[in-house]
Amino acid sequence: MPYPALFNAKKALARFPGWSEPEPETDYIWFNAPIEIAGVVETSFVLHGGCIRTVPDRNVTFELRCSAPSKKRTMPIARIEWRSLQGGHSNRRRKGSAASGKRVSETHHHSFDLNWIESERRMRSGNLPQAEEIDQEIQSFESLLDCVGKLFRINNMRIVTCPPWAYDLFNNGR
Amino acid sequence: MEGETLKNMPLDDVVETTARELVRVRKWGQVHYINLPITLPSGAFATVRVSPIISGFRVDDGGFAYRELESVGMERSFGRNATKVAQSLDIDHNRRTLTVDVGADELFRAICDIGIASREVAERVFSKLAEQDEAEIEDHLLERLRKIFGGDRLEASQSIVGSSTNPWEVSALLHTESGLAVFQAVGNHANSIYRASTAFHDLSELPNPPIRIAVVKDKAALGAKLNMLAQAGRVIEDDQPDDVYVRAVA
Repeated sequence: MPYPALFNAKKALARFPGWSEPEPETDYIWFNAPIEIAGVVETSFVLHGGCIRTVPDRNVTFELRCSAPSKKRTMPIARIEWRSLQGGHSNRRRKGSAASGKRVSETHHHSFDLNWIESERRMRSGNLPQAEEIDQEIQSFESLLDCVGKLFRINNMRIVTCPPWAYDLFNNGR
Repeated sequence: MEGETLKNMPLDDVVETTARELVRVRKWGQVHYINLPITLPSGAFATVRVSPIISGFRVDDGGFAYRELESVGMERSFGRNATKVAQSLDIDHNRRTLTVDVGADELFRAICDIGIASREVAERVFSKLAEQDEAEIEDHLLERLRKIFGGDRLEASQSIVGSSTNPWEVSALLHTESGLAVFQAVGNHANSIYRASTAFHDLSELPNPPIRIAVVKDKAALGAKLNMLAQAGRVIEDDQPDDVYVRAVA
């Protein structure tokens, strides 16, 4: 199925596999949930979710990823970052683009439409290099799930459980 | 800082405010995350993590370059590229992060080096992605050509000199009864298309030009660039039936 059709379809997570064990070097935890469209689980089309176990309520990523079964390469087609530790995002400067050169905040949306070149029927080079602000305030992980569901057209995001974050009452982030 | 707010400031304030925003620091527990004015392929900022250790500080990239590669399924390329970059900057790496341990007097340069290394590793892999589509088509193409035409008349990954006397690396040469056919795998990326188009034009100017065949994944996905390729050669898709290949060299 072409990328625009995949993105625009009404979707559901076929199952939530649970969060991974943390990576030893980074403490990153993640899941890849298969996606179904009209009752059919699509080939190699997943929702990737990730965050850092020791950094609660921050730096959460949700990304729609496609791949061909025979290829090792995957293609992200949309991504949402919530309270990124990387200090937001900077768009490339491009003539004629309203998003050109803009810095967007730590919570932002690498939308499919901003990163799809219709005239060439392909995604922009790089890793979803264009992003825009998200209009609504996202105060909690549950609110984030609702936002991702709305922007990615996934109707059952609430089956994703809250990450097993390690809270440290004495060393909270600031 | 919002663009609209900056627009209402005096010029000096715009510059100074923007400069102050170039680097951001956030502390989480004992760990500092520092955002640097260096962008990764996603447009995110290269970010280093500074943690206290007995001898001073551990500076690493928090695995953010690795995450960029993982997003496009290229995380296995991290180690090989990290090794090359780490050698040039005198830093270390493990499976997912670039890292160096330093004292306070070297901390400034260590933060710079890890930030640069993080971008360099990601950029090296992303620059190769453009050629990867081409390589995947080429792998499949050579098998198909052997099956259809046999191996005796086929030369894989050959160089052929064009009218300009420039040698062009092509995916395969096929010796036919009527002459020579050149097959070139072409990815969707502009560089791949431009290179094939330039080569085909140069080869078409030879006194006895070979038949030139571009093999692509999806003709429709090329958009207007399909016309560019077709100006100087024939275009087929890699999974078309055998008889299409036979007709292409006729």
